[in-house]
Amino acid sequence: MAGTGKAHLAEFQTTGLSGDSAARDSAARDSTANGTAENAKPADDIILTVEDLVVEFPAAGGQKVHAVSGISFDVREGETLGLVGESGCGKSTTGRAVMQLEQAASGKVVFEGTDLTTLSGEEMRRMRTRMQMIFQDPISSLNPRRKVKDIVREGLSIWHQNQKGLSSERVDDILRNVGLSPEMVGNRRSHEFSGGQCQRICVARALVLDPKIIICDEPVSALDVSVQAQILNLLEDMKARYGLTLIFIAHDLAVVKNISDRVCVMYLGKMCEIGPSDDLYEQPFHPYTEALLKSIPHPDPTHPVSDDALEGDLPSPINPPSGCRFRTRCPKAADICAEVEPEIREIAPQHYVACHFPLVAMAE
Amino acid sequence: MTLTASPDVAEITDSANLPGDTATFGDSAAFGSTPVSTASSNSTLLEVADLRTHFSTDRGELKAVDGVSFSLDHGRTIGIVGESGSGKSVTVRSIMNILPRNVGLQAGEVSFEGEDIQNLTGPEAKHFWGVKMSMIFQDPMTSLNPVVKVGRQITESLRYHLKMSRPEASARALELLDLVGIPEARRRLSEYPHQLSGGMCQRITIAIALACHPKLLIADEPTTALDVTVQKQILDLLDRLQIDQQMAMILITHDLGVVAGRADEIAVMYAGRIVEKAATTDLFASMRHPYTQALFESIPKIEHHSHTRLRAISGQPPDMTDLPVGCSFSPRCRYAQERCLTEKPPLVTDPINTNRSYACFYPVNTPAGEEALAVNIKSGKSAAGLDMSKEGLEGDEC
Repeated sequence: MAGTGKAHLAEFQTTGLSGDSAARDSAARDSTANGTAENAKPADDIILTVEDLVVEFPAAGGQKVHAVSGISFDVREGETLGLVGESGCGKSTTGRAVMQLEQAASGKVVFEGTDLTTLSGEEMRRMRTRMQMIFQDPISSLNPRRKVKDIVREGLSIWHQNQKGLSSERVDDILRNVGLSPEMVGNRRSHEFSGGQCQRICVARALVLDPKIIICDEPVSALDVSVQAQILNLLEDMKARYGLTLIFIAHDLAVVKNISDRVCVMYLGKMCEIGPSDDLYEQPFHPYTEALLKSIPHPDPTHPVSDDALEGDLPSPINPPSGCRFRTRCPKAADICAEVEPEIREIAPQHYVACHFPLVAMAE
Repeated sequence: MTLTASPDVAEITDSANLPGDTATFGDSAAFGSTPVSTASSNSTLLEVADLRTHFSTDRGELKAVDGVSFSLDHGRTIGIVGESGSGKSVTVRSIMNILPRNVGLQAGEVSFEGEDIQNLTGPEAKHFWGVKMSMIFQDPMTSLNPVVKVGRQITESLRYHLKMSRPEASARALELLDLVGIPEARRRLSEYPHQLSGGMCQRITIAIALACHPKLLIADEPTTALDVTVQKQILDLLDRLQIDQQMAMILITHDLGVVAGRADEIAVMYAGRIVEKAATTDLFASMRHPYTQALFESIPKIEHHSHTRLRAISGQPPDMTDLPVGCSFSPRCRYAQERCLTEKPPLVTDPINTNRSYACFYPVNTPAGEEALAVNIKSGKSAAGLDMSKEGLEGDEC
């Protein structure tokens, strides 16, 4: 697997499919070679590469909604990548496009060396045993007419039909691991459970086929704070136990920081900034990231409420602003921002930003 | 309230070794142990005493609000915090008297400027809502009428309550839109809600709510449906308007972060009751109720490093039709003792800081609480059987 990943990477760089991303990959290698980032891993354990992904939806009058416009990132094996941004920034669409639930207009999604966008329906169906998804609303993502154990078992009964006894054991095991008692919940249906319990069932369903990567699309947004913490802890435990890689999509910056190794900030279909979570929150370089961080209400009355709020609303994704998409609300916007789209570049080890005027580190 | 509460107070002071006496109760006119009419001083705007709202459902009586008391002074903000189902929305809907039809029991006293508003007739209520007291809701998209232009929705109350002429009302509507920070106000007046973003719609509902200068604004999760940057815009706006218009506010939220910077006082609700109430700074400096503390600890903090283990609250919020006999939080509480399982702790005033109160026999950061926790840790489980060694990943008993 690692071999194919490596070969693929090499292919990138030689063919120069996307100069931007190739540069990024080599930069990532350089920085790991220097050992600058403490959580740096060799670049060849990359499990998923998203390459210049574009997703568009048709809109009235022949127009297009530019939901995702050229996103590139890598996900390393065993890491959690957080995708964060406000509603309409394309984070969920990105997650769904990785799963091939949305058709990409262009770009590649390479998982373990295979470009998913070129697969046939049947090939993709087989691939989905390795990739699973958890959705925002746990109650509506479970079939209300089926028993919990059947919901969790379904993947197994499709793929391992001849191992009936084994599959019950596996279902019970997984249910126990997500904190549910198989004897008590197995024969019930989803309406008998609370949101938090339903989300545990969804996690169990996602785990049953032993996937490599799980895409969590706002998995805790519909839950109460006290239950949210349970599910976040559960995801961390399951990640360790089953050796998972996670893509964690959420709008809550504190939640994303808590669970992610690296965080990618999105705005209106574009990537603003991506970097190791602690670094990115400590020193944001993109004005949008800074604005987001300043908007968070702190559960601490002694923490001063920041005076400058980001003004205005998200522009329409049908007619996104030229150049940098954030320029209409950006306090640092200049003429160049309207003309030239900023390219994403490495500004600190492992830390990339797409901005003409990145915020300067305080120390400098 | 007085009658039922006083014996409890005597009892709690005896057994939990709180040195206070009953005189500490109802100080600051907060807990309705004095009759409402005499308690309302000049500065008190709203007085809620022993509010109870129960619904009759197929599964039995649902005690959505079960004995809530608080008071609010002119120009102040009280934050009501709680998880879904804790009764915070029903509390304010009971105050506004806008409850659904299946109300089984509605009891308690609500007085506004010393006047009982619990039994207003329909026409009386019409002249009360919007003029004295307004409310904004969580989802701005659904609280506006989708088939009526924004302008008419704003001018409606101006024409009705203030008897303005059409041009006067339009002019005032323009001012209001300006006030709530909506650009191109004139054009917006002739638009429909679907043409505006969520943040804009919430600004419109605020403009409507403030049109007649109410003395009290009830904001029920005003920013929950909005993005974090828009949330900040709306909270800043409410802050500014509150100072300009000298209006009191009840801010309901599930987010301790939202109230921390905005409210003067915070009431934490759990299962239909206020479990802790204190000035914001006091509350965050030191929490007394185990639920408040647990809620705070379960929030991921932006200052913490990534992968900081969260201290989750075990179990699920209780079934409101089948509440535990004792303290409703006892099954999830790390401090729970035998007593908590059989007796409901009343909300008592702190013997030292009379501005704070809590409903707990073994409050956090007190000798009684520390001892209870130590006992539970030693025996490995709480009196309710909660495994003290696990945090957040225990099996759910369903």
